Amino acid sequence: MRNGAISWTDPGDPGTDKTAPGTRKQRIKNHIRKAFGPSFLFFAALALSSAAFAYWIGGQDAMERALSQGGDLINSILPRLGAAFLIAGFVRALISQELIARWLGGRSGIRGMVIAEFAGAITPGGPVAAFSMIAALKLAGADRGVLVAFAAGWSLLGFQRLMLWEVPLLGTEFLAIRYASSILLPIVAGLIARKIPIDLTDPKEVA
Amino acid sequence: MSQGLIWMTAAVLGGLCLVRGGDRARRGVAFAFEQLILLLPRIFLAIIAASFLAVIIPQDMIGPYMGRESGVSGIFFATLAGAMVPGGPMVAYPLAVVFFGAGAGTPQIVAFLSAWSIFALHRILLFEMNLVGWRFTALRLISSLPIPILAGLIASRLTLFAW
Repeated sequence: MRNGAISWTDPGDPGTDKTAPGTRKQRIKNHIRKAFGPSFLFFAALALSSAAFAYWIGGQDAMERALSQGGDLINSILPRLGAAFLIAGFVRALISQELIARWLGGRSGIRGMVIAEFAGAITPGGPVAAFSMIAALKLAGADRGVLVAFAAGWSLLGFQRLMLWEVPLLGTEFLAIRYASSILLPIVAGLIARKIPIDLTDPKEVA
Repeated sequence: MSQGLIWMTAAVLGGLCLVRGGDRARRGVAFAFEQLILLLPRIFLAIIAASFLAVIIPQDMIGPYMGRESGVSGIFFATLAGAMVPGGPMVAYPLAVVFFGAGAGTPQIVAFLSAWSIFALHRILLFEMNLVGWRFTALRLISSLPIPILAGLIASRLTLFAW
């Protein structure tokens, strides 16, 4: 794999903040604005209207049930949240795009798919980072099974989303079940991909 | 995974960042801190909303479609529902919490989340088609078609032992 062929966009990387002083403050300001933006208002409206509706149909009793359930959930989530977010941050700081490109360079076969799935699962960043990685690997001529296994590994098992969302909201026991159920499936998808005769070369790219 | 284990994992990874040097540890903590600011208020509200919705939505509304007893047809239904979720994790995970509260089974939720993570339409339209191209998208979608169903079926085997 030629490193020069890999383009990697990760707009959310806090590592970029040292290039321009003051950017970090700006980004935190943006985060706060976004954290209390339209989707916050949506959730607030949803919480209020569902609370009102719960009171309307169930009275005091329903309110108490919902609040104690919500309280339990928050109690169990909050202490884990910090750890989950730190795990996401540390793995992100440890894994570089060069590392993943090096792992995947010229791999094929089942072994290649296993490595691709794992690489996809630990690739930090959101969809932009993952799909630009796939685009770069595709241009570099990677095996289609490897590409599909990487995409499935990222979307099904991507650690960053799991740490930021699945652990906080659904808990680690659920995560363990889902992980165990899905761990072989990106390989299955990669094997299917090799049988499907879709020509991946874009005529524009060749010309 | 207990609370101790998850904190221990965080500590080991943090130690690894320190050993590898550079500004890795600082970047890791900065990322965690910024995501906490970004997501905590909404996660908090999503949990509150989900707990009220779970009280409102009658158990027998979700149960027949996605409950533990709904079996394979429930897994199919959950796959369809997951593929149609209009948005990112901000929408999909709170929905999963609501479904759980309203009586959905673990294998069905596994199928729901797997289908969403593979077929999420906004992600395909906004990022995948532009960055990689429709040929790859088509290949990936066809190859990944059985994944949510298989994941749900495997989960229903696993939960027989674990639950």
